[in-house]
Amino acid sequence: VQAEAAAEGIGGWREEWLEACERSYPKVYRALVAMGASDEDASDAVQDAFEHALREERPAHRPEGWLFVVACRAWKRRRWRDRIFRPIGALARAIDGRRSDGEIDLLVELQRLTERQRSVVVSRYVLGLSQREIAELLDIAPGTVAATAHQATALLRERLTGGRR
Amino acid sequence: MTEEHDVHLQRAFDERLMRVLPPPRKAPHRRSVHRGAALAATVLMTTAVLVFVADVNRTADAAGESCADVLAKVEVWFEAVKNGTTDQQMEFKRRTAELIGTSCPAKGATPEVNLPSKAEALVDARAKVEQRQNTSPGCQAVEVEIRKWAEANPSPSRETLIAFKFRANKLLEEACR
Repeated sequence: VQAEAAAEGIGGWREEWLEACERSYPKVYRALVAMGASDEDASDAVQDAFEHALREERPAHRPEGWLFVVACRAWKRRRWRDRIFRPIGALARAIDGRRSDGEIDLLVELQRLTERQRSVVVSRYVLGLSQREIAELLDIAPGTVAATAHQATALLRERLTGGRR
Repeated sequence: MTEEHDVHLQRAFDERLMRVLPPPRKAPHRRSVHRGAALAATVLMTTAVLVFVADVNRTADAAGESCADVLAKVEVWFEAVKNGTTDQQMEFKRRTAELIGTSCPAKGATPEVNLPSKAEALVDARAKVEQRQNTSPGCQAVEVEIRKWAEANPSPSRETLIAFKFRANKLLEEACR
């Protein structure tokens, strides 16, 4: 019975996994917003990721990283649907809505990075993952993560603080 | 691997994202609600379309076949005279106006063409009932039902009569196959 329960994850890893996912929710939501998702899109994408988490067969090492990657995929799928179904005007309004009056906004500056740079920086500074963990999650070489992080950090530093460290 | 970490950037992220407040998480089966709404919308639209089609058919039937015939003739005739002389086209217009005027009801007016009188409709219904006397019990039950209705409504309105005829025919078709 214990073996079966362990296999099912009852009273064991599954509950811990889902609790860990719940705890990561605010971080993952903010990470999605930092990636450029609207409030509604971020909420929906994280929700999709949670539905995947319920069906997951084994726990991931870092729930926040796992949720982030799955939510990003869900968000991308949604963006494709929106490109087809949502009027262009609505999309333009959603993007403009993020800009504040003349203020240099971190979220706006993040949108000027490439998608990979953005993913790496957000994973590093919002989710707090190490470069090795980022490499595993995004399925890219650790050296590429280090280089991407370096470039993206330098760009953001330049734009936000004028190059001061 | 060197772990580059910019403290200023970390602070900028923390400060900016603190202003982003995550909404309470939704219930896990939110999608089924969307699916339910989509299903309800589909059913509603299908029903509306069916009602509309039924209404169009009823109106067309009430207007009579002669109207449809005339329109078909006019269409064919138009094809023949559209490249003809002015006189031919004037003649076409005049004849068309006459034909449509006598065959199709005016817009908004209740059509009178081919509409059976109340007495005729009742006789017709009774004749149908009599024709089917040696039929199945289900069929006979429907016939009894029709007879009862006819007796209970000696002077129905035109709309009620048309609706009744449709319903009676349908029921008889189903029960007396």
